[in-house]
Amino acid sequence: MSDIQNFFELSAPYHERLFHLALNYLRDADDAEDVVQDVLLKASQKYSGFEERSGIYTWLVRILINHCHDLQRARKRRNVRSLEEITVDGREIQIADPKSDHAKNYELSETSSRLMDMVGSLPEPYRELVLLRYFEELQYKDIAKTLSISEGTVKSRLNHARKLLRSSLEEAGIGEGLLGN
Amino acid sequence: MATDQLKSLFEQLKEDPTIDLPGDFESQIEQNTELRTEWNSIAPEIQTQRNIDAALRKSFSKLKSEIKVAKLSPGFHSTLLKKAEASRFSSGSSSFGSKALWIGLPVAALLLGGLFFNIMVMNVTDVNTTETLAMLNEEPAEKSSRVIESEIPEHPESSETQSKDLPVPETRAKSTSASKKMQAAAKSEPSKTQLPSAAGTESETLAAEKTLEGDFQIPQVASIAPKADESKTEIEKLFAELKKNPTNALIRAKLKKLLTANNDEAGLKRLAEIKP
Repeated sequence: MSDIQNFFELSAPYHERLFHLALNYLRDADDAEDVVQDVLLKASQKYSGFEERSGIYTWLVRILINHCHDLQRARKRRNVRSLEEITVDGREIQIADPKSDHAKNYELSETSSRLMDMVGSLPEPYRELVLLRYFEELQYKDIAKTLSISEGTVKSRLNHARKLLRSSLEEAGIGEGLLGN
Repeated sequence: MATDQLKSLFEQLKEDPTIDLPGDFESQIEQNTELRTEWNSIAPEIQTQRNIDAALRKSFSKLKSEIKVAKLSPGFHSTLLKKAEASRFSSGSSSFGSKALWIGLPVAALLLGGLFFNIMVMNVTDVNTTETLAMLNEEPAEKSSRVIESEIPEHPESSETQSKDLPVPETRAKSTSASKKMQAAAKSEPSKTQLPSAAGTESETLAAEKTLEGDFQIPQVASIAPKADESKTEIEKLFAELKKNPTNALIRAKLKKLLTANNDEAGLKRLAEIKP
């Protein structure tokens, strides 16, 4: 048990940071916590084989992103199924509020909420790039290590992601005065 | 700023429009007529990218400050440790299972090999015993193999379990000694040799009874008894002839030889009483 505890102590400064990233990604505090726990468990089991070529945080972020992708794909499947159920039954189904009390312990402004919606609607390769660059404020080289891509790819994909976001930002009124040419 | 430096900066901007630019960048471009045209063609795109970048930085900064309020639930770490313990246990049991498999397989192979070897040894011993007994001409081969199978104890007080645990050579020796005892018993009491219980001493009687329980030795006793009878009949016949013809040295010598061979003290005394 001491090895696992050592790992948890070593990674403790990043637990909340990982949680915030997962929350940004998933927008559900309970799911975000579950994902962070899964990530830490998986990492603790593989920590002996971790070759500290990248920092521990970037390593954890890489695992976290993969887990978030998996969860989102599962969510999509669930959503498709629930929609099918509604159509088949032809009745209104009362859906419980998915936010637990814990999930309500923070409040987002309308702008932030829209920003999260916009980033969330980006295709997969761009979403994590934007989050890692603007939310995590990672350097290009760290993003490249985390996502196992080249720095050149990081830069070109970010350029494309910014282009994709431009119209949404304008519609949402985000960056007024900055976006106008 | 030299033209080469500005050209290099352009390339960097094309790759990453958000890089930091020198404070006098625009004035430098204005002064450089050679690069001004090129800059005018790429500037709008670079400027848009830089504006979006600035907007995103500002918006995410606000989002970050808001989201940082969210804290992990109080039970997060205890749940994490419980999960870690559970996952460790499950991985431990699976590794134990695989270890057990790796240890168990060779052990099972050894046991099977040992069993096979044991069967082979039993067969070889069976053959050897049969051959030995056949050489001794004491009992039929079928009977000897049954001795090994049933492991009959020589003495009634020895338990069945003990007798089963006896090694094969000992069993063979015991069966041989038992048959010798039976032979001796048959010789000493020729008139009662049809039944093993007539063997004489109590222990021998019990051994013979046990032998009967094991369906063993009856053919052996029966095969020995007529031989003793024949010998006695021959002796009596010779005595009768000697009485008729006491001077016949040939009959006397033959009788003496037989009596000596049978260790018959009474017979020898009787022979001495018949004077030529």
